[in-house]
Amino acid sequence: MSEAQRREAELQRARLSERLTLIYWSSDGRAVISNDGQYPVNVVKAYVDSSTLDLKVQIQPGEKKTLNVGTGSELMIETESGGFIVLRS
Amino acid sequence: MDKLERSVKGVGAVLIIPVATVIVVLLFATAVVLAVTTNSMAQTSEVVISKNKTPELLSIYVYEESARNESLILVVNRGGTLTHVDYYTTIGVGGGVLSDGSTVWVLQPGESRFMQPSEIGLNSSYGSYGFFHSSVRFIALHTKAGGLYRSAYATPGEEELP
Repeated sequence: MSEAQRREAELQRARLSERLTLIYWSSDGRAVISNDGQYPVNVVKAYVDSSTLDLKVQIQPGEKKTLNVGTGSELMIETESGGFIVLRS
Repeated sequence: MDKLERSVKGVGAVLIIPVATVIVVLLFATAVVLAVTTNSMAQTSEVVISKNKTPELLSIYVYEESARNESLILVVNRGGTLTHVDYYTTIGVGGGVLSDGSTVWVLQPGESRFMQPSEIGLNSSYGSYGFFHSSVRFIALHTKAGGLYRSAYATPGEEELP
């Protein structure tokens, strides 16, 4: 297995283990997100409706982080591993 | 002629035995087929029942014990499964996190239990319903199965009380 394949396999494993839960999304745009997985999750982007927001936040397992993502009705998170997690649709 | 009639009767008597045997065998086979079909249908309906088992459902009531102006928090497992609550988060009226933490609460189907504000990381001031109501937007309980349940300011029905 090449280095690139090994790296891709690691990323896939990371993607599969990512578990985020949206606990609350306030009317002023703050989203309380919990990492319910076993590994830290690096959030790199938030997609709110049709807008995109660049982020650089790490959420530890069991930790809840409040992210300012703005207001909207749909929220999706992109992680460093390349995973996309829909938190509200 | 009389001989012929007796002979025909004899042939009839001889034929009755195998015909009756065939009928009995056919009846037995039908009974076996019916039994197998019924059993298989029963098994199928068991599978359907287990698939349609009531899903996980928690109700969290926050209400006032009117005589003492005390906050009462009642968690009711209204689902059909054993539910493990693995963490809680309390959101304040301003939208911020007031408290959060891990738990190991297990609720049997139909079980209900009262929670103290201290069990969800809130200090004794929250024991006063007026203060609780003016400070807490909701309590969120997360389950091991991935469910997230929010509290409501409502009074539970008599049948939901422990």
